Amino acid sequence: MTGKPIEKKSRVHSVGADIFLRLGAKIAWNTWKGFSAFSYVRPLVIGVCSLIVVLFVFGVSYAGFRFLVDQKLPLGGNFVALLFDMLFLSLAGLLVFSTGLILHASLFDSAETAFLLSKPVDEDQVFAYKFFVAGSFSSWAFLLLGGPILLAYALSVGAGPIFYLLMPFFFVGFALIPGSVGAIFCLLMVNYLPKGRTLLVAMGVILPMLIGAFWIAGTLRSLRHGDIQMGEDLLQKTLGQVQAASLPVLPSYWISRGLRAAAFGDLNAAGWYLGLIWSHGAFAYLLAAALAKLAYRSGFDRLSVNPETKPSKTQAWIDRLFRWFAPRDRGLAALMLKDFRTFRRDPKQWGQVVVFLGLLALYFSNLKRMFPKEIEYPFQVGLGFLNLLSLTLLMCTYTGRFVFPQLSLEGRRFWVLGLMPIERKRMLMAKYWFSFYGSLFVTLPLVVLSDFSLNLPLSGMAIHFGLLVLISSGLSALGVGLGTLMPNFRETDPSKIAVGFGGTLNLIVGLVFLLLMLGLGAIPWHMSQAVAGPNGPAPGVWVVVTGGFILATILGLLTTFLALDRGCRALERMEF
Amino acid sequence: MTDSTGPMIEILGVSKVYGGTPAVDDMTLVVPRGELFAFLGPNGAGKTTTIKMLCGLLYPTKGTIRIGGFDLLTEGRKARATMSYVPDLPYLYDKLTGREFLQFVADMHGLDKDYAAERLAHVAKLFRLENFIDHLTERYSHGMRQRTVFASALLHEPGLLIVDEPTVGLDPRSVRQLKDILREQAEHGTTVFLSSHSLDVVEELATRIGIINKGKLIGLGKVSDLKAQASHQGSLEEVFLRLTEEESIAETVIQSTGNPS
Repeated sequence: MTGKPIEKKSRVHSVGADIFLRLGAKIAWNTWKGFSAFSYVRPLVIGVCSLIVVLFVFGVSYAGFRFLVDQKLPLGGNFVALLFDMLFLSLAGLLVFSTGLILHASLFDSAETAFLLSKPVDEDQVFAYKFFVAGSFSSWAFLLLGGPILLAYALSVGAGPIFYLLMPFFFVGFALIPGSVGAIFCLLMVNYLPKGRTLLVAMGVILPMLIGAFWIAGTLRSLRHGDIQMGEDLLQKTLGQVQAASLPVLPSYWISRGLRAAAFGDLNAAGWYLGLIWSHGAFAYLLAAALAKLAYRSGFDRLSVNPETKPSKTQAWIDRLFRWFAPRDRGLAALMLKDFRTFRRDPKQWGQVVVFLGLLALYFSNLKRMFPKEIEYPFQVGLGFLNLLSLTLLMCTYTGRFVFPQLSLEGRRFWVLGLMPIERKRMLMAKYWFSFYGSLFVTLPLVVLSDFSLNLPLSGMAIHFGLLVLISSGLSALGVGLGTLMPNFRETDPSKIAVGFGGTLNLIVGLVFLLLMLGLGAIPWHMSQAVAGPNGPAPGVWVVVTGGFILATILGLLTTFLALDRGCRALERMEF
Repeated sequence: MTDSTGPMIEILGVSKVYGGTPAVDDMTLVVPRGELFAFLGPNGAGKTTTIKMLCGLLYPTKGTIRIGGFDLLTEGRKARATMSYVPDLPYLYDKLTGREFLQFVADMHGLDKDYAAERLAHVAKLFRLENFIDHLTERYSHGMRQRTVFASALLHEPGLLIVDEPTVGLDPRSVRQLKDILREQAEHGTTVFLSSHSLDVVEELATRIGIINKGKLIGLGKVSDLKAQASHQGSLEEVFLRLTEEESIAETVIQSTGNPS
């Protein structure tokens, strides 16, 4: 029945990967033109905000490196090497997960890839295009953080021009390695893991992080044996404990040593490490591309045919529990339940929260065992502040990541809510309450655990509790309010919405708010306790503490009110 | 060009199973070159799954699909080079103009520069894109988007054109024009595989019609053949309803008695 096929040859040539480069360049150019035509303000604000972050990181790093150089600290060089090893190791870890997750969304869950796969282009070409887009998205933090730290280092040690010349090549080559590893993980998981893949993908994120957690826990446990003295002893001990980050087989070691060699003008060593990075980076990428050629299309097919959820006619126990805690207002509770269901059914999202909170819980619960002999009171107070800071920073990141994109994600299905007899502002309030309760639900037990482990006095616990409530409220309101003021209805991937202009601005505003809140509400109490003499804090200091807390309360309430008010007004006027 | 004597589409004993449930069940269908074949079926019958397998987006769990003689599994790229697919929800890059999008599609098909320019001008005129072709597609209405996607689908003169619900959202003039174009394509030797719920369009255009229900091809032939099969001389709508209803009743009987006869 089938005759011999004849290929269409006339006026047709082979397709190269350059068409995707041209596509990317065209989209970037048109997007830029769109910015300019609409308003110069937007790109300007992006630039200014990025510059502020870069300058801040640069300033802090430069001061730190100058301190090490000026003080001529013993083992100062080793300390810097170790710092770089740890910095690049953590950045590599983040790049593996962020590239893997972004690739998963863009390779298997986007209309564009379905369009491209129906065209006569090879699977590895589509993969290459998506890989570099995902790599660019996930590497911006790498550039924004790593760049200024390394520039500060180079200036503080007086590095020659070769360092600045080689730095971008080190960066790009290095980013290829974890990016490719993330891509390989992503392709293998989609193709070879059994059903219920979403949970397993989340486990793929959680499991490696748990391994990291055990390593940290092991390090902390070993630190608690014996007295810890300040000075060289502590430094040496610390260096010994984190040697795992400095294994010579790790790419983080290569980039760290290569950049330091370049800074000191050792061209041979720098070239060697650069070659090592690029050869491994290129090999890892080729491996990922070869795997994509073999397994991308089959993974796409597999993901389309495996329904991941079982039909359920009854309400899940967790939803019933949520309803029980939700407000009595049925409309509001229904809206919150909708958001809760959407969130809980996407473990790729909440998996990250669980991991980081789990790590913090592990650390907080080990606080007492870490220091068998009673640590001095000022250290207890200092640790209490750092714990509060880390928790609220995490809250700030996650409200930016999960709450800010909420309204944007509603855009395409807004007709469902828009046609209901519910005031628009109640929809916004539902999102606010959901975020507020959710943040408190996970952070409050942790701050209580930390404060009890450190034996903080009741006044400190009360201040932490009050600040956490206010910060949770303010950050939730900012996420919801700014998300409504700067929606992005075109994007369906929440991670891309979060790293866009609005999301970045939200993160910066949230950070400023957070630092002001802690500066006003927490620092006066912590400082007064840390410098207190044997008879307790100086008389009259309570005025400063109380005054600061009142100001923080006003700031928290005002931020909440203003952000929600502006958000509600914007939503009332919004056209979908 | 592909083989001029063999069939354009060969679906041979194809099944596609979704988590234990067959979406397409042992289907065999051969569509010759130049035929305008219409694919009908109720919602969830397996039409879109079949189309996605024809485009190489999904793999058959069992069986073989050949397009223009090329096996989709082993020579997928060559098979996709001979066809075009217009989905029910077509994709356009918001930040490209219509012209840039068409150029990109021409590049993906590897068309020579001069030939691409010539074809681009032709399809732009054919689908009346001139007034908006240099605007970003994010500003396009549904009809403008649909016309642009059709233009891109015909850019490389495909041997097979697969269209899924092409008339949704188009104004009457555009529907009329689209019907004319589909007919012309078939007359010039392009095989058109049309999936639609618009039975009047199907009745007017199709050379042959295939009716799918619950993954099985339950009817195949010209409108007159289907009427004979359904023992009903009414409209295509009535024939379609009768055939799909009979299938459902038969299945209910089998399930309740356990006896296929």
